[in-house]
Amino acid sequence: MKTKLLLRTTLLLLCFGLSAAELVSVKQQYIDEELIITPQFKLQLSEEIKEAINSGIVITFVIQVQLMKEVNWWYDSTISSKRQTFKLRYFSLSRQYQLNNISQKNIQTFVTLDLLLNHLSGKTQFNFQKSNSADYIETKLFLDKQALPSTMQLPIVFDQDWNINSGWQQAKVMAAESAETP
Amino acid sequence: MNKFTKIVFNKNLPVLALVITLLAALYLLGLAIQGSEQFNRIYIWLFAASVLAVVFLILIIIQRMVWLFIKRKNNEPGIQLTTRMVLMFTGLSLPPVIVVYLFAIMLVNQYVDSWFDVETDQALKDAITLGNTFLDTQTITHLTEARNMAAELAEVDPLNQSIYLDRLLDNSKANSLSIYGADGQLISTSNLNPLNFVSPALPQNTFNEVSNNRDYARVEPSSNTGLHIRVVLPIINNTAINVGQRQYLQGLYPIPKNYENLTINIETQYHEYTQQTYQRQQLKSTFIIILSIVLLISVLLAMLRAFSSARRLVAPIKLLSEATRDITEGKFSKVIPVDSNDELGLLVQSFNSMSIQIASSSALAHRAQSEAENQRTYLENVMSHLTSGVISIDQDFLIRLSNEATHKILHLGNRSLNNRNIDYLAMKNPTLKPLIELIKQKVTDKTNYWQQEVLIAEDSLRRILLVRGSQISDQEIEGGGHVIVFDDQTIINQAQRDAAWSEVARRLAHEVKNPLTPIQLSAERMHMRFTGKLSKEEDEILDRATQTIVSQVENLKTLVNAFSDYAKPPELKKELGGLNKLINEIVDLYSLSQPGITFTLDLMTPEPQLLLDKGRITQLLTNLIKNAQESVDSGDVIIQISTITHNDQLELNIIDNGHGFSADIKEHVFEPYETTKQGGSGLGLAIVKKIVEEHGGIITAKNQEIGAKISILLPLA
Repeated sequence: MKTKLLLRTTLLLLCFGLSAAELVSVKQQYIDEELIITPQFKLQLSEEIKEAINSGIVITFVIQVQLMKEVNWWYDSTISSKRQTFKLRYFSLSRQYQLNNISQKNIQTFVTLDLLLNHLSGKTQFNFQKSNSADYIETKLFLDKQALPSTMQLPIVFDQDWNINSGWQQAKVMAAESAETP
Repeated sequence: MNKFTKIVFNKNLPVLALVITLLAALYLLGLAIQGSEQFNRIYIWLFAASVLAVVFLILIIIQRMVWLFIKRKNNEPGIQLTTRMVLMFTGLSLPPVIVVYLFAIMLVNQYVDSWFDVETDQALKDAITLGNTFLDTQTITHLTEARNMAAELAEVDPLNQSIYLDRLLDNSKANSLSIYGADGQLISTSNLNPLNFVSPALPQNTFNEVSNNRDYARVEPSSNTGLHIRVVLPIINNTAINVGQRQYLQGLYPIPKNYENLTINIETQYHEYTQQTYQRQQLKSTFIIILSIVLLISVLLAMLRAFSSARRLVAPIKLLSEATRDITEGKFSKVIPVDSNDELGLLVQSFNSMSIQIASSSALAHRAQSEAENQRTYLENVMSHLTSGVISIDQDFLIRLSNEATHKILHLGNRSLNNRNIDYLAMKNPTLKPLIELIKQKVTDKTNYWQQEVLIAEDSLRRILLVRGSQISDQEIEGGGHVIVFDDQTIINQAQRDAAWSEVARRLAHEVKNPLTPIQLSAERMHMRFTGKLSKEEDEILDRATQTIVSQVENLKTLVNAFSDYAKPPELKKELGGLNKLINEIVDLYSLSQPGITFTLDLMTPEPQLLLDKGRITQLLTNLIKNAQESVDSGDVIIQISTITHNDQLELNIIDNGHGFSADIKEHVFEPYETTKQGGSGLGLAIVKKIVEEHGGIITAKNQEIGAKISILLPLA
């Protein structure tokens, strides 16, 4: 798993350079037959992105989590995969930031962008059916550049400020007894 | 079917598909730029596809250019024109495209810049500030109202709060009022809209804020577009039962519809403007990139089209060039396919007609040439079977025609005489000089018909050629000419001469031999009758006179016999045998009787076998040795006799150390009555020649540094 992780990270770094999103930890909770995963990222937006948000441009973030099973000498298999798409938007009149979770149809407003980012990067939960065969968790947070207005897409193709992608990050699946209890 | 196959396997089809894909991608790119959401997500892939297509186009162009370079290097027909047309098409397409490109960039810049100005910017900011002020005022008003309601609720028993909440809602401007417990759980709620059964939620972050004893009053987006004011504040319960129990009152206040629409409109416009301001440079960059791709595509397509057009235009010219080359090489069957109805098609049609005509003319000419060739071959065959030599010469004395007999008769070897000057004959064989001079003279004199004998002297051989000439007029052959026919008359003349000599010899023998015996007998009778009857002196005279008569008669008899032999030789009795024994016998005989003669023999062993009449050959050898011996005026006589074979002939050489043949008789030593000896009959060598000819041989005589050499060639058995 380590070799694969190293390979993927190297490829990611080669492709995108240093990322502004990093995985800090993955919180795992077992409630009944469910495994609740809360990946916690360290997310920093550049001034350029903040300026874009304050200009009214809707920024889309995607967080993906998947349960993986290791396979020898081949690609690991995905047991379950989930993703949540967030649209981040600024309202000038209310002077608040709105985080619209498209996947869960949930809208939240925040007075500051940092509060919103903290919520996004640290309080997004994914519910999975408890699985004994899962060996590790893969998670990723990225800014969906293809959701940006088309006029912006070309000029930022190679712009590192806009290149927010944690890449796939792995964490071991904790046993029910060692996982955090509610 | 052919048409379908042609379309399917058309080599331009991939290029066409690429171009169509590229144009479609560009169209979709355009739609995406205009804000079409369905293409927004594939925008970057559309762009990548366009770039890939451009790269493919560039590769195709490079491939075409390499093709052009290789063809130019191989100097293929039509390639210069192709290059020129490609350059011309490309050169023609470039300036307008570049001008349009530059103008488009300029217009895009100006157009995008025209969207923004300071006044609009400021006005929108002011509008937003105004909106904010309005909403702040509304928020403060609702907060104050909510505080009053919270104070009232603090005095109400919690069990009656729900009823009191309805009364408060009726008197307030809120849409809904809700009471939450200290743990954030909804306790009671009252809505203006009785059909709205969904209780308003207390957001976690709001609850977190008010948990810290802070009042919460903010304008919030109620949905994607709407606005409301949320006010949350704690209720500090003063009732006896629940004193100190913390509750929270949440009031949701709507923005009046007319104000809401206005504020939303202001916000929408403001955001649109700020978005555009933010994307201003990006928009310009995007347009420039897209326009650059369009420019590239236009230029590349123009180049591609230039290649294709140039090749299509040059194709018939190339075919014409190749066909012309074929025609110059004599291949007249080339027909170029006519693919178009334009001027080039007409030219190709004309060329095809011309080549067909040339082909038919060529076939006719070929047939005529073939017939002429056949006639010439026939004539040459006929001429080669002629025993007479035939040559034709033009006015410049160039030999135009000659046959094999010419070579044989004139002793010229096998080298062709055609197209050579007639002087070449004299150069090859100097003895032909009289003949050449005669021909030149007759040709120069333009004698119509002539006939003359020419003597050709080659060492001991004298040949007589009967030459006949006839002039060919200009009307018969262009430039005119002369035909000369000649025959070797030597054999005929010799035969005639031999016959004449034989007749002379026969008559002489007959006429002279008859009176010789009576003369001899009369002389002997006179001697017998008068011997002793006369005086001693007269007796001596008589004796001497009769002896002279008798001896001269003997001489005459010998001469007559020789003539008789020449005239009528005995019948040959040929038998198989060699020469060595005969030569040795003669040599032995002479060695005994003539001790002064030194013989040197070099005879082949084993001796070659011949069919020969030994008597006649002995006579031949005797005559030759006798001649050799008599040719030595003084000193020792040395005679060398040798034999050697050449192919199927035996060569017998007899060399002496005498005085050789004098110049005046050298050319006819073998003719009767030609002698250098005192008292010789002149028949010795004539008889030798006759014997050689009787045996099918050839005899030649020539002088050496010392003495003469007689060579005889006799056929082997």
